[in-house]
Amino acid sequence: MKYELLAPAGNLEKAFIALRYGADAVYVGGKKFSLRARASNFEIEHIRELCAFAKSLNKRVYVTMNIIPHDSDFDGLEEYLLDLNDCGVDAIIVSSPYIIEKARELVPNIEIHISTQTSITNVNTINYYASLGAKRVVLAREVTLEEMKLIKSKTKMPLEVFIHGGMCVSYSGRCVLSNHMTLRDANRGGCAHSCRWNYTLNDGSDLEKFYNMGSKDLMAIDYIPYLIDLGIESFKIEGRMKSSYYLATVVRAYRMVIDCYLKNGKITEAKLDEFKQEIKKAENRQTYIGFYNGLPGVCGHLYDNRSEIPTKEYVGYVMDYNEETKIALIEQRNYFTPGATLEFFGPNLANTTYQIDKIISHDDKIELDAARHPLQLLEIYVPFKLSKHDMVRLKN
Amino acid sequence: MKLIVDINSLEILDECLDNIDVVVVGYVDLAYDSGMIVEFDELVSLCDKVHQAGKEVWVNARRIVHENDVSLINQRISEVLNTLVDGIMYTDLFFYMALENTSLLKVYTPTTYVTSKYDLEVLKKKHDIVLASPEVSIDELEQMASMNSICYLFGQMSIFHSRRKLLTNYYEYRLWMYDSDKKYLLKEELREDYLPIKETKLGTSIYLEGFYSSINYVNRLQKFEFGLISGLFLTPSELVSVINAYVRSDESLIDVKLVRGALDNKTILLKGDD
Repeated sequence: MKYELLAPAGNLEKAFIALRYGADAVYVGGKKFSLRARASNFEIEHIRELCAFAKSLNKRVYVTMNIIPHDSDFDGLEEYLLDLNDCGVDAIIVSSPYIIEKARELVPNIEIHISTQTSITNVNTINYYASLGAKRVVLAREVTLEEMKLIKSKTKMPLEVFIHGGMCVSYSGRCVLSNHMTLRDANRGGCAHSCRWNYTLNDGSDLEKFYNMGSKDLMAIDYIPYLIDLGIESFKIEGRMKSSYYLATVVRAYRMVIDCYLKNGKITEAKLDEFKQEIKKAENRQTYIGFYNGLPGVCGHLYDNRSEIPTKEYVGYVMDYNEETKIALIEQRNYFTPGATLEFFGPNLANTTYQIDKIISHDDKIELDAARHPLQLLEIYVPFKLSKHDMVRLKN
Repeated sequence: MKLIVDINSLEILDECLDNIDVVVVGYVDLAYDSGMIVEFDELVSLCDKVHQAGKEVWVNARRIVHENDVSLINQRISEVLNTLVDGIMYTDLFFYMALENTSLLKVYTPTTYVTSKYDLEVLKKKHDIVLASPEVSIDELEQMASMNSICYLFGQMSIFHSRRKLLTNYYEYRLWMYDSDKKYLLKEELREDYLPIKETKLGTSIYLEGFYSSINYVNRLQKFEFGLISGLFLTPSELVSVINAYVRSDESLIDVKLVRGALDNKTILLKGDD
């Protein structure tokens, strides 16, 4: 059985990185019908290019069309569906019954996956969507592992579950806090994340109670073996707005976990810890296991909103490597200096550490006392083979 | 327009039943946001009384069903099917499938999912009756008016529903005692509204401050076959006043704080908007 690792991508570069770093499929938003307002959504030509690239790797592309639409949002729907079909998109992720009906009628070759926005938590609802022609459902993040097991035992519908990333504190699609507090429509890509703001709670007493209800992000890496054993078909990472570095790191870590378990039939705690440490190199928010082990208690919440830690470890992206001179051409991402100990990693490169000596600017061949400028091309001697698309981070 | 009322007391029927076309009650374990919850014997008696008046009874089953709950829910559904209830209102498609082969009216009422006439019309191909979400402007709502559709006329609208125990967890974090009998209100630091927040065994809901009311727009909603009034968080006498207000189109009869929700919002900011 094929277990799919499904990654988000906010733009073409990120999509390529996700696929190169181990995702079996990526999901992207088009300019219309998609949630995630600031996720630099794709033009049709970008989707076409992505589909061609994915197909060359025997991988898949899904397009999110999961807004809960108002009448005015349907303009151009038919043309858009036909364009997606022409691009070779494998599936659309949908909430709207009308979009489902139109897609079935116009582009029957595109699979319909039902979005988590519809809060699917039981087999009856899965059967309902099966009757509409759905080929996969994304379970609500509120479904526990025990419930997944029950559901899986009663349906043949392929299931997609979230394994990593941000979590709404409410059932997705059933929260309109943002609409009423800011006039930004949460179900049409405008969520203002009002659940993460500061509140006071009034219970009739004199004491003013400062209140927060934001959720910690999900990290279900411990549960990958269980999900594989259950036969869950697709493991989904959230975060179309995350950076390329984040995607590469998280996708690669989960790829390694899945492959390790499938190869060995088991995975040790120590190995899992190693993968978790890998993820933490890119993760800048606190994580929890979500609903996997039941209803989240105190540990599942962010009661201190200021807990995000900016990640500055990612320092460069490998553009080329000369095997004769052993000079790597690196595009700068964050500040680093000669003498820094760097860790190189990539789709086919295990984490490898090296203390660099000199940093040379590529354009004018000047030796630099620091790599200061984002996107500047730099030449660095690295004694082991690198490949284009490998990444470089500071080794702490 | 036929009037559906999710009642909060059986006593109000003596005063109001003539003005109501459909009486809605919550049934035990099936609803979290009903004006009142009844058990089997009360439901049987209610059906007798309401049917004698030539009116209908629907059960409020507006909850999310997790697979772990299915046995219990199926048991409750079989109890409901042993009464003379006419219809069932639900937000989870679980109920449609569970009732597909029964004669009960299947009334789909998700308050955030049906924001377009196109979706509403597709949904009506399966469900007998569908609620137009109140999360739209009056112009949009007017476009959705049709037979077998419901508009939300009045009630304290849930704007957030979580499976999490957001009050219990918070009080545990603070090492304070949580008293489930108290009324709790949330206030965002830069805003003036006090939003009721309520935790039940099905999770936590947050409601708009004040009661959503479309009474000043009723003339534009006449093409809806049904209008829904919810008695949640009202006293019985307040609910009677609301019913009378709608029957007489007289807002002055209502003595609680009113809000218009999204009714007057001509534009809701979308992605890419400033």
